This record gives sequence, C-alpha cells and structure tokens, in this order.
Amino acid sequence: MRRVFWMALTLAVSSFLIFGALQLAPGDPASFLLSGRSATPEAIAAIRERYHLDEPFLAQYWHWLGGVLTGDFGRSVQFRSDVGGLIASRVPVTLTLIAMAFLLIMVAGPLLGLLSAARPGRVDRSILVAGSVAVATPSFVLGFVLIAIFSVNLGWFPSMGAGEGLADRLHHLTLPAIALALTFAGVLARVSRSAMIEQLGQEYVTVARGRGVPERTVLRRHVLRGAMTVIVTYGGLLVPGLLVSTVLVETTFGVNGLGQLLQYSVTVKDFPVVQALTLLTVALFVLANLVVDLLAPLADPRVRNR
Amino acid sequence: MLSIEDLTVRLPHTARPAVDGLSLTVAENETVGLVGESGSGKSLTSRAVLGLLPPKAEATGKIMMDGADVLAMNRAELRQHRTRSVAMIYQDPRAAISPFRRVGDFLTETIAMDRAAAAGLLETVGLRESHLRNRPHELSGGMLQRVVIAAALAGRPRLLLADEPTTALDVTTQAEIIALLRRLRVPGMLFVTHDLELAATICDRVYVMYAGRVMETRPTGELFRDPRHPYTAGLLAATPRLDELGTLPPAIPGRPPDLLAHLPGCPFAPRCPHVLDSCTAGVPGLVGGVACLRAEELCDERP
Repeated sequence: MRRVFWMALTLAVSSFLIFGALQLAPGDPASFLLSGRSATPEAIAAIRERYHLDEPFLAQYWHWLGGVLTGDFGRSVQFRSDVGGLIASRVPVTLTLIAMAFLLIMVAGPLLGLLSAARPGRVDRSILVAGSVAVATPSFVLGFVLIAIFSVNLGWFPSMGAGEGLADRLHHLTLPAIALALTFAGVLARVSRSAMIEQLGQEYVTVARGRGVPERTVLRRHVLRGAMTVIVTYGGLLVPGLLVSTVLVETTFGVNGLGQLLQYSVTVKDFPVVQALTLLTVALFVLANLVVDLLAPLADPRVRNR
Repeated sequence: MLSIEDLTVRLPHTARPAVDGLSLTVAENETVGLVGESGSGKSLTSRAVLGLLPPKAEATGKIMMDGADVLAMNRAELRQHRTRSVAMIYQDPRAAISPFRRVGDFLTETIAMDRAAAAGLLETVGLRESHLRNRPHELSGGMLQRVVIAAALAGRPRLLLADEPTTALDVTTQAEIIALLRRLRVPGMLFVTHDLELAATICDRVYVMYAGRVMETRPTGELFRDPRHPYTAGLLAATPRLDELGTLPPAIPGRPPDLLAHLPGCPFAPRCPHVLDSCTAGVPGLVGGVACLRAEELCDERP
C-alpha cells in the first residue's frame, strides 16, 4: 500500500516537472502549427484556444492531467490525431526491439562477467577492454558499423524499417537490437564481474570446492546464483534506459517506433506527444522498480523475512 | 591413515612459511588435536589436507592419505579425495552454507542420494527430515553446524577435519556439537582448535603449533600433566581456572609473530622466559615430542 502511494507520488511530481519544463522551452507551438505561413490574429487565437494555449500554466496543467488520468493524452499538434493512438500504434515495434535487446543484455552481460571473474589474467583483461570499448561506443555509431558490415557487405540483414509479421520483424530488428544492447551489456558485464568476484571470495564457495563440487557447478550454483541479486536489480533498472536509447537506434535504422516518434516530436515541438512519451518513460521506470522489488525475494530468500 | 611429512606452505608476499616443516600423523581410530593461537598455521594445515590451499600458495613436502599424496593429485583424484576420503567441518557454519539454497541442496550437492538418505543423514545429527526444505537463515548456528556435519558424513569419509567447529557457537551448543562429534565414530579425526581444554576433552594426542611449527606433541594426558615446552607451559598457565576466581592468569608476554617477520632459530625464543643465546642459532628439532633445546634441563629443574 505504501509502495503504491510512493509510486503515485513519483508519477504526479514527475508529470508536473515534465509539463513545466516543456512550457519553459523556447518556441510557441502555435507558430509551428502554422509552419511559417502568415496568419490572421484571429486564426492564431483560434488555434491557441483549440489547444488551451491561452489559459494560465496551472490551468493548462490541470486540464492535461485530467485528460491523462482518463486515458486522454491530448491531440498531437503535428499529426493532428490522438496522442494515445499515435503511441499505441508504435508500442509493438519498440517493445519487440527492447525485449530483444534486453534478452541479449541479460544473456551476454552475466556470461561475460562470469568468464571474466572465473578466468583472471588474459581472458579477464580482454573482456574488460572489449567492455570499455562497448560502453564508450554510442549506439548510432555501432549501428552504422553493423549496417556497413551485415547489410551492405554481407546482405544478411535489412538496414531499414521494422518489417511485417513476426519472423520478418525479428529479422529487421536484429541489428537495431544489437546496437541497442551493446553499451548496456558492457556495463552489465562489469557489474556482474565485480559481483561474482565478491562471490568467489565467499567462504561457501571455498567450502563447495573443498567438498569436491566440480568447478563448473561451483560457478553456476554458487557464484552465478549469489550474484543474481545484483544482476536482477541492475537488469530491471536498465529497461527505462533502453526506451530512451531507442531514440538514437530507431532513428539510425529508420524504425518507426516510439524513439523515432519522440525524436521527431521534440524537433517539431509537438508538446503533447513529448509529454506523453516522457511520462511513459517515468511510468516504466516506476514499474521497473516495482518488478525489481517483487523479484528481490526470489533472488535472495533472506529478503522475505524483512 | 594420514601422514604429513615435512609440510611447508609459503603464502605470497610473506617472509617466512606459514607452515614450516610440519610432520603429523593420524592413526586409525585416533582423534588428534592441532592446537595453537590464531595465525599459527593450524587452519592452513587442515585445509592443505583437503588439497585446498589459497591461490599462489606454494606447498612442499608430502600429505599422504591412505598411501596417496594429496599434493600430487590431479583434479579427478582430488575430487574423489574430497568427497570420499576426507571431509571438513568449518568454523562458521553460516558462512559455509550458501544462503541462497536449501539445506537439502547443500547435503546432496556432492553425492547423489535420494530423499530418504538425506533425511537419514539429518537424523544422525539430530535434525528432522523437514529441515531439508529450510533455508539457512531459518536455522540457528548450532543447527547449521549439524547440517555441515551431516554433509561431511555424506561421503562416509575416513578422516574428519574439524576446523574450530565450535568457536562460533554458544557454550551450550558447543557441548552438544562436541558430544555429537564424539558419538559419530568416524575412523579418524583431526581436531583443530585454539582451546587447549577442549582439545583435552576430545583428543587422544595433541600437537601444539606456534608460528607454523610443531612445538610439542604428546598424548593428551601427559601433555597436560607435564608440559615440556615453555610455550605449552605458558599456554596452560594462561588458561583461566575456576578454582582461582578473580585472579587473572599470567599471560605470555609479547605477541605471536606475523608472517612478515623472519624468525631465526626457535620461533618462540623472543617470548620465552628460559631463552638462551643458542636458541636463536638454529631450529630445534622435535626430540621426544618437544622442540626445545632446554627441554630436558628444564624438566630436571622442576620438583
């Protein structure tokens, strides 16, 4: 119950901040609507009224919040359609992209971390260097490299679009998912490496070895298992970051999803869309926190008694 | 059954070996005590018997277990050795069992067995079958130590290594665990402790270690009645007694040496009340179970 209250408060405060910040941004949406055409003062006034731009700030916020709570995110200035519908039509593509990237991250990150922790020396150092490069490479740069290699030279994957149907979509989204995953996988590899090195120093790992448990089993059942709390927590919290990163990746690969929508809407100052997408990111963050909290007792049974 | 010959273990970045030329035997149906202060090398010795040395530690000498040298074993032999012939009981059971897994998982981890067999093991140590489903944090320290003992028995080992098995427990629990260990009748036991009195109650023979070396080794009764090495005598004198309540026993002056100090000759010389110049000239060998140049002489002085 307390948790629900805090979640609601987080959302309320951030909705206010989001709305307020966009009001402070330079540029009048009305002038964008007219896109440079000269208009009569009456026409401008009509538009301002249509989008409630003539009302004071708090009233505008109140009006918007009331809409959001009833599922109405307002109308897009640019697309001249419902923001809700605009977003809903792009959710499946972006969700698939994020899910693919998340899967890649959660498999590659801990695996590389385990390899790194279990093989100090050359293997560990190579992974650390590769991880640093991965973390430092912006996703759109990697995107261009992937397109050059796998689309242009090898022709294995398409370079543009999101595809139709499940198989085609997965095929189209493979390269974007890799580009999206790389940085996060690099960070997760690092995080799991240190968590697992800490596990390797635990007495129960030494005890398991001293009891003749094979090294592979020790790594899987003790080291990886013990590092799970850290991996689950970090993994859950990177999901909102993935959504934000889709802005770059979807633009690079011409995928018509939420990221591209956000990028475009910011450019044309389509405030209702930007507001809705930003609020969606915050909501995802709050949700990810909740999921991590609910998963914590599974990762560490001692948490249940607290 | 177990015969350690001239074992020397060097840890990285240290000036002297942590275990220095140690020889020790455990015969069939014998319980042997390994007594010393913390840092004397006793735990390291018991772990070496498992073939479980810290990374980068260098060991020379021989650890013969039923005729096979532990230090020369390959990976498969070592696993066989750890699951079937030797098992260890650890100081802190809460650290020894992974908090993430169930008691049953811990018991059956090394040797495949059915539920009935696992329950049987728990019964041997005074626990119930229902404890198989418990998580470590749901059990007390004493119960967890019973789980560790049950797991140690799983492979029907010939030799049990008990490394300070009661140090982390309450006094009443200590007594129960000691009673349990005496009841088990594993063919051989090496009991590592810093507690001389405890060693006296459970062991047939005792080795007293100091700075990685054996100072004195004799049958328990003799050793306690008539300690020959000044260090053993000092340790016994430093044990608080019930009949002298209110008076602090005399402590041995000085502190045990750390691994960074080079120790020429007898390692106890700097703290020894009977020290002579010749004590630091060479390492005294074990003669009649005592590693002291003046053992005979000091013995004769006493009434």
